[in-house]
Amino acid sequence: MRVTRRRFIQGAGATALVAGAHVLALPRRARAALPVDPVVVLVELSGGNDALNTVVPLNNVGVPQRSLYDAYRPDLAIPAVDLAATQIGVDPVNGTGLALHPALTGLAGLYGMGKLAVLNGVGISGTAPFDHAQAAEIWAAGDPAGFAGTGWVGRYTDGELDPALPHALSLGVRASPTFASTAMNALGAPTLDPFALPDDPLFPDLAARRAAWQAIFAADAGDDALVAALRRAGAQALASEPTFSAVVFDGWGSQLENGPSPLHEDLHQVVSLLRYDVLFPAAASGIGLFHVVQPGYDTHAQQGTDNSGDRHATLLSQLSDALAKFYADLVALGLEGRVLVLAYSEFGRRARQNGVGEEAGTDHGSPGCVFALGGAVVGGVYGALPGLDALDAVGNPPVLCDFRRVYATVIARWLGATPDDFLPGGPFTPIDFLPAP
Amino acid sequence: MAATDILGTSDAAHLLRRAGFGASTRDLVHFAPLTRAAAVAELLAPKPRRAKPPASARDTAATLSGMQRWWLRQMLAPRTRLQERLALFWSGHFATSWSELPDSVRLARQNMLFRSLGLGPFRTLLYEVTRDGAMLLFRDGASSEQPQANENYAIALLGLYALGPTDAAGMPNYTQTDVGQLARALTGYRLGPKDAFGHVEADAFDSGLKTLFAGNTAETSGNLGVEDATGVQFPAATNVLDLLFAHRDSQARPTLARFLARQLFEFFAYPDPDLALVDQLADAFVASGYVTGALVQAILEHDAFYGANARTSTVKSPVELALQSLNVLGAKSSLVALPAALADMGMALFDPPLVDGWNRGGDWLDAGLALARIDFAQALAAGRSGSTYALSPTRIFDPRATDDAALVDGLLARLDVVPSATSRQVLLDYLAGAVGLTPKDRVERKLRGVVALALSLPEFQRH
Repeated sequence: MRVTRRRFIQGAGATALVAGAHVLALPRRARAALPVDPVVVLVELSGGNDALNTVVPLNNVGVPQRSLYDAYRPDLAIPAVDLAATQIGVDPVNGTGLALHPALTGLAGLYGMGKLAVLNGVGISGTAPFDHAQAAEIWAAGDPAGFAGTGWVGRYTDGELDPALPHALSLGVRASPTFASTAMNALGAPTLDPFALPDDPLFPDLAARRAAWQAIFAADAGDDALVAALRRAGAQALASEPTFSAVVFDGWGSQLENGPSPLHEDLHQVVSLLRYDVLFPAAASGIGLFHVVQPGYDTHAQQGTDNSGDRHATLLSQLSDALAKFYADLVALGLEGRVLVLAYSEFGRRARQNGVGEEAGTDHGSPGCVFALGGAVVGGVYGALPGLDALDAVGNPPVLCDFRRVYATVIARWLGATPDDFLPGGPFTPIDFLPAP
Repeated sequence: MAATDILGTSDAAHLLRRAGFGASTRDLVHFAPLTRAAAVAELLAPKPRRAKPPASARDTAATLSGMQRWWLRQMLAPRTRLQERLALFWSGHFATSWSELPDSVRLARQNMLFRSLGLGPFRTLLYEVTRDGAMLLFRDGASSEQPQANENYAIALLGLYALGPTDAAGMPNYTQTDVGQLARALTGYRLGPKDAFGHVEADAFDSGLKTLFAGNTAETSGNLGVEDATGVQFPAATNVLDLLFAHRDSQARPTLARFLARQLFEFFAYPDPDLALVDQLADAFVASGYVTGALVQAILEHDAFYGANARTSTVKSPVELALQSLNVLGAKSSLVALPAALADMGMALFDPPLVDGWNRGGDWLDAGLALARIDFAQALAAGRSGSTYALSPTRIFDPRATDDAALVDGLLARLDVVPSATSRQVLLDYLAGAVGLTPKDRVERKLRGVVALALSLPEFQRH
């Protein structure tokens, strides 16, 4: 169980810390609808995923979506005949038939099991930015005004969790600002496998050096902010090393073990760490908030449709396969009820294709689709597919669901906190992909 | 202080850390007695180059690491250090990555542009990058044609390469409409399989009426473009590259000059310089006719570059950390191990991971990247062979030092780092653990260990 700040304060006098681990023996959550030790895995589809070729209209029921789709995308429209195997429910507002991209077979299977929610029309309300970095920062900040030092999850950890402990891990060369917090306790790493200082027989005394580093990285009263931050990074590295280097990645039966994509590798590390924490509670990392990135969605050209090897199809195929295997691993470990996956992108892409033939692609657009996956997720389609009959001057359909509603749902219905405490501009109505407590 | 003042050892070491990759003892002897102006002039003096990265038609991992090793060798060559510094800057600025474009021949050619034009007229560099084969493939310019332009290069040109999305007042520098109009003006480039540069084909170029930067001083309508099918550039009045230079931000200042002055100052000195300083540098850039070398000269001669803020406010990049360490410790290396160590620390050369290049400043403060720095410090300190790193403790430590304090303080002085009293004591305590060791073991275990600890000091990670 992770220790919330509130629990930490309440429990400090009454309960002893388990030696060597930051686990408190406190009552489990009272409300049955909220999981004990909830885990959130954020999967950022970086570059701007083409939502319109991810959730595809099948017909013209309610709105002439399919006719307009075919007209706007002569070289990129996915033929309706290819979409039979990945059909999902209808647009809940207009009744238009919908299907997932044919490469998303794994996700379609999870949809069939009722574990996948498809959220349509999600984006940044108002004047949406068309610059990757600006849009990604807004998503991370949870604030259309942009990033101002903390991310939406970082504010939650500051408000609710013990500031002295790491709760979040961002895999990648540059940590996601989603976890940026005042306590500055989120971990960032390109990889957990390996995460260890090699013990070189020709260079003895590693133990003595490790002790020296621990002393060097301990906070010093005379530090300015930058040296303090550098010390913290070094201290986090050494403090994390025993746990991360003890995690078993290979050979325990994970379906993700041999890739093939970097997203598979990242999710393999996440699920291996979750497994380790369950098996060794006394040495648990206590990390329950994860961020991974699948880059490459900036398909300005040669986007392709659903043929094998097509650029967008390849990305979606990797995403679908990795998420399906991740979920299968969770089921095998009995953890699926504790884990919520959110897959999102900084923006969708333009309704009309650019270029012609094989060169055709799509430029930066506005609303996107979000996938929510997990054992507790109420599967289904949420929100209308943005109308292709209502394009703005740029050529984007309207944003129908502010992205902060997704975050508010996670905060209220998964983390058990109050969204307005962490999301400016509220209140935001939660979405029913998670049950109301 | 003025450009005519003598540098002295401290300023010379600082200059060579930033305008190069660290100073050897010999460097310091040479540069310390020079004036700022003379030192900067020597660094800026043109050095024609012929060598190229060892590209190969077989684009394997070995090809990449060979190119990385080659580049590191160039960076370590004292004569061309500032040139290499600029190549590194532009390589992040115009980030084009091996991971997405594993084409060593084209990446090598692009890298040579950054080297040969890095200190020259920015207008020339911008044109060459615009028609550069690697860029045309990386940003899809080679497949953008009328009537359906794609916007990939246009949006990068505006937001990352020339103007930045917003100005100092937080106002947007351009609109989505500008992106579309600019993309139309950039249509038509075609690239043959063996072509170094793209050329415009008339059929593919959108020759219609375009309007760029409506409402701005630079607002222009007409048949805008870059070059025609014969390779002749459009006149400045209708050339979109020139219109970028004509753009004024919401404070009526030259947007491009401010943007690059800030980017380059942050690369050389410290983050978030105040606006008055940026404007001084931007003015020098404009006055020179946008010659990057003139902007760099203005930065390297500026008092702000030598102030306390410039020595303590940012984090060394992995390349800076590694090459400075090799230089100040006089370590030799065949550089075989270094490309992978740099990748572990988050800085694979020729492969910037993000559209804005590599991490900078606070981006480096991650646990995993910090662990990789410790790992590198240990590998360098332990190095006994040229195939990894060859470091000789007996050459680093003063043989006449009579006690541990003198040894440690000598090492810290060589690294030009002042740690906290606590950290210094940790180094002393580590050495004190050498009681009873043979002299050889003391050198091999304890002195090398102290080097590993010192290279990992938080104070040595910043500059």
